[in-house]
Amino acid sequence: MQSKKSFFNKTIFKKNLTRFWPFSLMYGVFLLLVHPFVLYLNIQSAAATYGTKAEAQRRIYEIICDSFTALTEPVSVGIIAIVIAIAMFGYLYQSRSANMLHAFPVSRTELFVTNYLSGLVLMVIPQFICALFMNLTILGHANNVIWAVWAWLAITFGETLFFYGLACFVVMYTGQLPVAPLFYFIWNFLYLGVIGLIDALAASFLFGVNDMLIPMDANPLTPFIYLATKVGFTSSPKLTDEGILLYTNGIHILLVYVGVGLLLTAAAWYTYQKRGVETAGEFISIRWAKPLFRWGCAYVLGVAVAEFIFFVLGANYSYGRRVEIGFTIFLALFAGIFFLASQMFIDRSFKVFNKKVLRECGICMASIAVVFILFRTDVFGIEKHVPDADKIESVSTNGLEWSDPEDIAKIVDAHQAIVGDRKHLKNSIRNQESAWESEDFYSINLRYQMKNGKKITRLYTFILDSENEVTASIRNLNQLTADPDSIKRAQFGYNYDSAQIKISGAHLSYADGWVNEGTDDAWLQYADTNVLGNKEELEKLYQAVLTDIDNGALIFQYSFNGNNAKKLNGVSRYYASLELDMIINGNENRYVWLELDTKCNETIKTLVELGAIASADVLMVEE
Amino acid sequence: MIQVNEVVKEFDGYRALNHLNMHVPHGAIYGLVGPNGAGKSTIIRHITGAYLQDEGEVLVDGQKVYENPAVKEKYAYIPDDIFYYNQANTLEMMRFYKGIYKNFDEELFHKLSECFPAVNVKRNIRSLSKGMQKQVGFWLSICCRPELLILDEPVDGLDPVMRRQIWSLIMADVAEHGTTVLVSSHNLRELEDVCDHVGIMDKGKILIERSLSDLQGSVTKVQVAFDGPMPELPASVEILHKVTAGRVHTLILRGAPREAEIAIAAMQPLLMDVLPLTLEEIFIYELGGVEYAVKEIIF
Repeated sequence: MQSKKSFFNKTIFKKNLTRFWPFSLMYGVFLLLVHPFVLYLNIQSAAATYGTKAEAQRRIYEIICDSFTALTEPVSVGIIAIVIAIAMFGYLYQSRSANMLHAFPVSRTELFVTNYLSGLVLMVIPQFICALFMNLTILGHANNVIWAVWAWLAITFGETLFFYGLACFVVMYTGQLPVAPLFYFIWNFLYLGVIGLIDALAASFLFGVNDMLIPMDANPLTPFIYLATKVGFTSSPKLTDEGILLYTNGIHILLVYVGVGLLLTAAAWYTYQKRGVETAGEFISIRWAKPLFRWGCAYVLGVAVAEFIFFVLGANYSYGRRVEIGFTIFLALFAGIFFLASQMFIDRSFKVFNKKVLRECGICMASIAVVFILFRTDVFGIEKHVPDADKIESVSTNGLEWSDPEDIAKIVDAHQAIVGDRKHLKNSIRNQESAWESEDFYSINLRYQMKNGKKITRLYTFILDSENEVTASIRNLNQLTADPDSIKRAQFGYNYDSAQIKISGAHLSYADGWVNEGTDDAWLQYADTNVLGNKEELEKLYQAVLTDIDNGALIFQYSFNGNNAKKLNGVSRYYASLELDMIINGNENRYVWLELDTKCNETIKTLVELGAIASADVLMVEE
Repeated sequence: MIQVNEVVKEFDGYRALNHLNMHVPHGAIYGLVGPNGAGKSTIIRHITGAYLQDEGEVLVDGQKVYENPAVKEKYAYIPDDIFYYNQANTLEMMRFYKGIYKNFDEELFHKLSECFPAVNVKRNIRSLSKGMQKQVGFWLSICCRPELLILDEPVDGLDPVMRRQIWSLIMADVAEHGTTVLVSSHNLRELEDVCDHVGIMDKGKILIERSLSDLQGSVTKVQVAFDGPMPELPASVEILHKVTAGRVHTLILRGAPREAEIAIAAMQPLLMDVLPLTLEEIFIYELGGVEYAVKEIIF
């Protein structure tokens, strides 16, 4: 006779609660301290600080609203979730407990559901109590945002479902207590780690890719960060007639995570059904996870260590084929080492050198070498990729931004020309030290903002050593960067001509001589001075800057050619920068840094008039 | 009561159970004997439903055990290493067992407290000695009123007085309720006085499985003396072992004592005496080639 299906066991549920309530208590105390207690202190402080009752009430209301916008629970929920999951299912890690609990007349489904619900209750009760205290704290001060307390509870519960589902899943396929939090952490940050490695690899070995190939923005695969940034509360910036308005945001995202959390819970249940009790104490308890772990370790740690060594050695594609071959060998070698090391963890033994493992290790080493060669030979088309001009919203180069289709087309043409000649150009800077000294050394930074919201960035450094298609394209770009209007937009904002710009301060920093001049370790010594002046005088300085821009004097910092700009007049230049502190339209602060050169006659003349420097000669430094 | 048919279990390529067959009748006290590493605990964990076999089947009362709470309700299991919650005392574990087992008899629990005077029920089980922890395990298991009691190395770590007390409790339970008992041990002598069925296990297999009466009827020890050399025995009598001292021959013969007595009497010996065999001797002569395994389990 098969027993009647039961999904819940009251005895085990009660036992779980009576055994693990201290975790719940600690979590509750943490929540109470971080939320209602801090809020209460802030309210009391505001009440004591502000004189009039109305003013204090307004400030208290703002404090309450601000506290909601600052609420981010994923970290605390994420941590308590793995702690509780281990507490609930920790018996699986110990042979004695695992054997006995599965010998009791309780099915695995019953055990799973009971333990899962026990854990959930242990987390939700402190959250509920915290919400209750928050409610009491703000009662009478901000009654119209009390709903937000319960919205916070709902959001926190949703996050709990996700993190607890993930934690239960991790616990189900690990066999040792310390391994579960390790895997939990890996799953939460794996995406960031992998993207970081791909970016680093691309920057080292692909021409033009030395910024983030894949942006490390908050990504759904990094839930700790993504939930903290995308889900919570926002408020209206100013008090309206109805007070500050609070809104929840990212609820649709949260719902997706809740769905994923429930799927992970189902996966955890399924894994439990398949898990052998005899695997208690093993590193990984489920067969399918073992190859995943050793191949994952081999690839991720192999790339990381090989990358680190090459980073320390300062090697990259510009060192040529030998370095690439060396890197491939290192990569395969470290992949092999980490493959075997992970197998040692899995087997809990150093004796892993059998035919089967060595054969798989060899396949892994060969595969990572092949993947790298494919990557390096740009089979994935990263190096040769130039975005379609029609799909570009705007593009910025060396600090200037363009959105006019004609300008964009010119930039895309130049990009295409560089990519077309990439084999020649990347070889041109093989000797980096002499490259930096070359007068034909170019550095072009392209940042595309695509219409679909994506960003593409490239940075090309090369020496233009012959007249060709690239030279012509760069000449076109130079014309664009010399455009005064583009420079003004870049420096003072896109609507600089219609905006109200007020200069609130100016600051000059310049080199006033060499220390250890004539020796190998000589360096420039800088002097700083505040440019003093009234509103009209500072406005005059701003106008002088605008005039210099119009005269084409302030262009070199946008130039693609680094060295020509530094060698104005052939022998000397200014090492001076002017900072302008601006208030735009009365509410936006902006700080602008301008590098001065010998052509900035109007600006230098005004600085002398304002007494910031005695004469233009002060700024001149002999090379 | 228990049927284990062709069970195979491998751990990372190591075959712990190799087409194992085992049958425990209703009401039997079945001793499972084998050297360390023979697979006793592994098969017991299959019978308790903790492990799932790779091949074969494990049935209790004709039903599969794995993931079958109705079957598991029928037995109580006392492992070598007693299970208890870390912070729990005996009373708390009693309440836990009471919640888990429908038939748990709380009245019996209190009644049996006289049998375990050394156990302080309000003291953490963790802080009790291993022997006392075992006593708690027995106490709770008996109170579950099981139809089947599964004991893995049950009296290891207990002093002789407590061993006797535990066995007498088990025997009383068997006598009163007809409980079937499966008990494993690496010590044959430990089980000799209590078991009515014995299975000898080695390298993941049951080598021999018999009731004690069958065993006792299958091998006979005879001391015999003839006037002159010993004549040829009839073909129906198989000599398993023979020791000669002067005219006196000590023979271990396969077959029932009565049959051996008739066959030898027909040869007109000067003297004949049929002697009892210990369980230890029976196994040594029965197993012959695998004698080494038996040596390890009888010290």
